[in-house]
Amino acid sequence: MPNLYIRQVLQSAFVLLNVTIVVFVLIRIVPGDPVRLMLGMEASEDAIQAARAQFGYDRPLHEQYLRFVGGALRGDLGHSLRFRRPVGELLMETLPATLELAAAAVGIALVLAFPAGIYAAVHRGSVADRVLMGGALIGQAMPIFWLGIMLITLFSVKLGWLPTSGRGSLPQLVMPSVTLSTYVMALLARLTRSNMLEVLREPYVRTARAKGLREALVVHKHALKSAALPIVTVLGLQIGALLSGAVVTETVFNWPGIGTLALRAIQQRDYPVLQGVVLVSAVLFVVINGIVDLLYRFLDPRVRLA
Amino acid sequence: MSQHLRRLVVFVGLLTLGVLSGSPTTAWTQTGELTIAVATDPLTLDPRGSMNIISWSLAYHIADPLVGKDKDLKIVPLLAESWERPNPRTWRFKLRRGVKFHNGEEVTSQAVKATIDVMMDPELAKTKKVQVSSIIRGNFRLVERVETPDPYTVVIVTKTPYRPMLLGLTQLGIVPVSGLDAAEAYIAKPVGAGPYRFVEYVPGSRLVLEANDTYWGQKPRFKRVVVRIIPENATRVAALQTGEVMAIFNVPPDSIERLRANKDLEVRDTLTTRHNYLYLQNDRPPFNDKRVRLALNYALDKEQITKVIFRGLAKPSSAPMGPATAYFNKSLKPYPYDVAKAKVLLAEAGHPNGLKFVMGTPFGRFINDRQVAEAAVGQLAKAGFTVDLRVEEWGTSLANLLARKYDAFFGAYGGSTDPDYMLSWLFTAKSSVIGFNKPEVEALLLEGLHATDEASARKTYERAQQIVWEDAPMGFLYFQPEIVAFNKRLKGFGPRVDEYVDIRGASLE
Repeated sequence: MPNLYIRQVLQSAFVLLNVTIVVFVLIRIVPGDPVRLMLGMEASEDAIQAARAQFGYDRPLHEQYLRFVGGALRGDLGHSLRFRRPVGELLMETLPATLELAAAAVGIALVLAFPAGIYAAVHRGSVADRVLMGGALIGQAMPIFWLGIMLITLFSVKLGWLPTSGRGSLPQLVMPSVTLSTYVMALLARLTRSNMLEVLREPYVRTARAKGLREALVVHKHALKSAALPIVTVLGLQIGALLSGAVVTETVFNWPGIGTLALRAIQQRDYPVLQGVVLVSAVLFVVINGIVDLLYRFLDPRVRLA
Repeated sequence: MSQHLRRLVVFVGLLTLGVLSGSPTTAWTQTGELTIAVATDPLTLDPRGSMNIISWSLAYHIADPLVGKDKDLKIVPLLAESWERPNPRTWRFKLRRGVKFHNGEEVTSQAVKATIDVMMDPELAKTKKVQVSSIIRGNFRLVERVETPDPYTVVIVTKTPYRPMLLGLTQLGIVPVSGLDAAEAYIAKPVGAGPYRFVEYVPGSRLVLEANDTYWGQKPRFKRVVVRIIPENATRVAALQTGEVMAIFNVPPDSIERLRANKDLEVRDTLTTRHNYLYLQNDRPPFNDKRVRLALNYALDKEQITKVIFRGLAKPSSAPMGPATAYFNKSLKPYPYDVAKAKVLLAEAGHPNGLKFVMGTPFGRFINDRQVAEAAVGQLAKAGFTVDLRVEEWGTSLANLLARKYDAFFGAYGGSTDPDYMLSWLFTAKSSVIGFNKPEVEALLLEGLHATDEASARKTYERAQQIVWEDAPMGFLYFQPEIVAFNKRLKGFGPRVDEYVDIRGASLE
């Protein structure tokens, strides 16, 4: 068993190392010079060269990479070219906002998607099933960007119930978290329904029914337990979707998280910030999936034995 | 439900509740507080490092420069109560006495010298770790030295007579001497002698300022000012409609009618220094032929673009620089829309069947950039131009423009009210990204830079604009408007021709 954990940690470290290489190379392949973007199009070539030297961009790529990884290992992600502040500081300011948004979105998704999926499965083919699953399909297909703007138009401009944007109070969290939750919610509802349908056909469910157990008990005690297992995995994998959805959601609602930070860093080719954001996102992804892996082993005895 | 799962749900629920109970701050406007919204981040509030209009106009509220400019661009005294120019190369400023920076240090000639010296000396900037803006440094490139004969007198000596010295000084807020020695701490908490103190800046979210009650001049009207950064157009407009903010900048033209329909709101616009055009490569085919450049200018229907895409708020170009720039030549006229003439010119240039070229445009960088570029492509087709349009993200398209990969490029240029800044970069052979090379224009620009009186400066720059205009080195399109919208309770507020965010004179009814 301890071997397993060690292997997982080593695997994660390997993944993260690869992420640093990929992100480092990728953002440098994309055309666009951070120094030029910073100094403006009319800056002289001398000024550009001087600034490149100042930031170390005149050094060979491998040297720049080693400096980045070396710094990252010591917890130093460098200075933002645009904000002229340490990247670590910017991440510390913005990460809590994104985590808050993502947690609220997952919370909403779980609370609504489970009952909806179960209800639809149990009442398969009913009007309610069709309405719920039709809604889920729309939710999954709807562009987050569009939904966000529609919500603002309705609830802020027309009804005046909620503030349009920003962060700091509970009302400000409502629309962004609902927007971000739609995709995950729709996916979870559909998944819960299909898993439930499958499980409800299993012999042991038939046995439970044959024993004369109440239908509610059959569904909640016997069927849901097995149906819910794959959902944990899917939820872990959705962290990536959640983070990319956060970029759009944060932009629409002016939510000061790492999504907006990333978007600006891309536009301005702020390499250190971009590297920092990707690295932190990757760490989040790896850690959460690690937890899901462990959780899964814990929840499913078959996996534990294997 | 399994017990573990139930626990997971409870855990997530609690986590959600936990993070929700953060410190609530309200964005709604209260008495004594002003909340406005801008579209871009100021990035830094250190006046020495400001790279864009939003940053130096916000820094202008925190750190007073020696002199300022009012909304009509007239130079007004700020930390310097008076000045004189005893000879063409010397400027002598008398400072106000007893003015304090927000940290209690006194405003002296030493602080002024420390602020300007670091702009002129890259080595000093490096050792002191001051991030210096190349744009603002440009204003001081001809300064030879700064002298401080006494604590309240500053003398600036330039290498040659330098006409735009005062305008350059309006862009540089004066920083206390400690701002030079502890530059990193200064960036985190900028200090100046302006009407507002810096409270906090959360990138991508907001800048908060509070009144400096000991300000030497007119007392600030608001106890607290919150500048929210809302890049998304629809969200920014909605924030004004709901009353969360009292004013917004960069109003998208397609929302003007909606905002005007609201009786509590007012929309105002002005033309600025910003000018939109097609950059053409003047030193290679097909645009090295003046007839082809003229044909392109006649083929562009400027009226249609300004009417349809800008709701009539933009104006067809009539000079190579924007109308808010000093010494703007008012006597020039837009190139008329004349497809027949364009075709004749093209045939004369040896392209009777038209010609093909590559054009780049960014999207989301300039107002309606993509729509304008696409409209222009359609118009040019009628005259026989086949355009291969490349729509690219700003960073990419800028790199391609500077590498001269496009024959034509849709873009804008602006930001300075000084003609030297607006003309020299494009129309001086050494720096021109359009391959422009006319020694007579360069000579005029140099003459204008050294001019010591208004009349000769005006004459020189008007002549330079005329030569450039008639040579048609670009596809001239339109002068871009600055549009702001605000609640009618806000008085003394409006768009500025220099695109400054300016709340110094504003008040709430």
